[in-house]
Amino acid sequence: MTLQELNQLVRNNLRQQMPGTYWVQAEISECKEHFSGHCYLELIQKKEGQDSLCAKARATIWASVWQNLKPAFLRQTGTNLSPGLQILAEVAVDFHELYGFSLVIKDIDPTYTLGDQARRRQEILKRLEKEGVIDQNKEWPWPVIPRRIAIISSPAAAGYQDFMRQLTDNEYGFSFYTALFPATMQGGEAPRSIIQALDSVIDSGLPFDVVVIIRGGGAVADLQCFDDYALCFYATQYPLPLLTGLGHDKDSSILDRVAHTSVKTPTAAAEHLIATLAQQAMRMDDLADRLQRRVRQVLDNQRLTMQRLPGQLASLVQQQLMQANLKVERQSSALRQATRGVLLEEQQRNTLLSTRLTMKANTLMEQEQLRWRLLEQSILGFSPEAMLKKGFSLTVFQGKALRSIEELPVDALIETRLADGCLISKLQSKQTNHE
Amino acid sequence: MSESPLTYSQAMQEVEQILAALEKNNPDVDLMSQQVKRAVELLQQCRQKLVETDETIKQVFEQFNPQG
Repeated sequence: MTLQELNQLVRNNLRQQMPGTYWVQAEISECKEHFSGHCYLELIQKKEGQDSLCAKARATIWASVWQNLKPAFLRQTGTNLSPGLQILAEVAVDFHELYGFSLVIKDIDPTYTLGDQARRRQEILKRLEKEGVIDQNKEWPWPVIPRRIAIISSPAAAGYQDFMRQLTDNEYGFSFYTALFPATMQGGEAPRSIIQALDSVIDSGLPFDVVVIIRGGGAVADLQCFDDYALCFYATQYPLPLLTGLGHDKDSSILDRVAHTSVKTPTAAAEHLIATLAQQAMRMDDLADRLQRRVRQVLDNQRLTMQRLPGQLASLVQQQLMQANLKVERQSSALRQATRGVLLEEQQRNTLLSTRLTMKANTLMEQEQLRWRLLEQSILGFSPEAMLKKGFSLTVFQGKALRSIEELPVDALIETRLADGCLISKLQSKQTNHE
Repeated sequence: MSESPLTYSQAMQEVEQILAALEKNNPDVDLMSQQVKRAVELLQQCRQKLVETDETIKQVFEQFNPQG
């Protein structure tokens, strides 16, 4: 029997004994896509809790299966088949005379990988939390003006170009100093490469404000490498704030979680830096604005005061004058009041006086009148009529009252007037009075 | 004039202090013009710090960058 005959026997037996397919849990240790479109893998199983292997097998995904399986798996898990990944695969067992034992993968269940990834992520997160380091990078103050920037990226990556373009062409004219520290940004090599780059940043001795970790955008890429415990622990201990823009649009990685600040894309990372400076520019504008307003306000106040001063002075004077006037008026009114009192008194006194005067005058007049009347009466008493009535008589000669006997001739007709009539008589004789 | 240059944050802080003092008190105009002059100078310095490019620093940084 030749070796070929033996191998054919094994193959035939295997095919007869194990005709169907099996769902198998395994870890990918190698994964290569052939230009023919087939995908070749190596699957392994490690001993429980150890790194040493207890099983290993080659596996193949034929191009006809791979062309559908690859995008579906990526879409659901956010990762490509890659070393370190745990998978649940539907396999057929095969044996080839020349190439030996291998598995043909018909399908892979992405939910198993997702579950495994999630579980491992949770484990790492819990561990970082337990170690008390998970938020340590966030404790660095975000730089006020982050201008000196260390970039960890793959130089050829579109993401790096996007980042640089965004940063350089910013609309504000802010200038940044950038230094690139190249690193492998995907696959199993990435964590170690990124750690090395982070070390180089420190070793450069340049005064960086921030370290940006970016990876090319475009297709949904492998995030697995950023869930690496060693890398993430290192990141928490890093002496500069980290800004990640790892180009994912679904779940974020643990590196995103521990970084100081995490945005989705390299472009967004650049925008974040620009926004920080723009915020400062706004702060300056605000300060300048307030300063200007305050100066204007103070000057306006000053001007107003100066403008108001004459008016104020005038109104002050006017006020004073008014007050003075008021006082004068009050005083004069008081004076008037007082004067009126005096006047009134005087008037009253006058009135009284005049009354008394009048009264006195009246009395005097009355007395006078009385006297007059008396006088009149007494005078009247001496009137011829009154005399006649009293018994006296009046002798008239030739119309004249006789006062003497001398000129009267004898035989003269004389008229003797009495009260009730007159006597006409002829003078017979006259006798002169002799004493 | 060997004043040690203020950092960006120090300068901004000083501007804010000047402004706060001006807004709080009724300043004397002469004093105010001095303070405002100082604040404007500081603001200009700060603004400069966002846009100026020191070619020496730039070159030192860029020696890390890939050629081309």
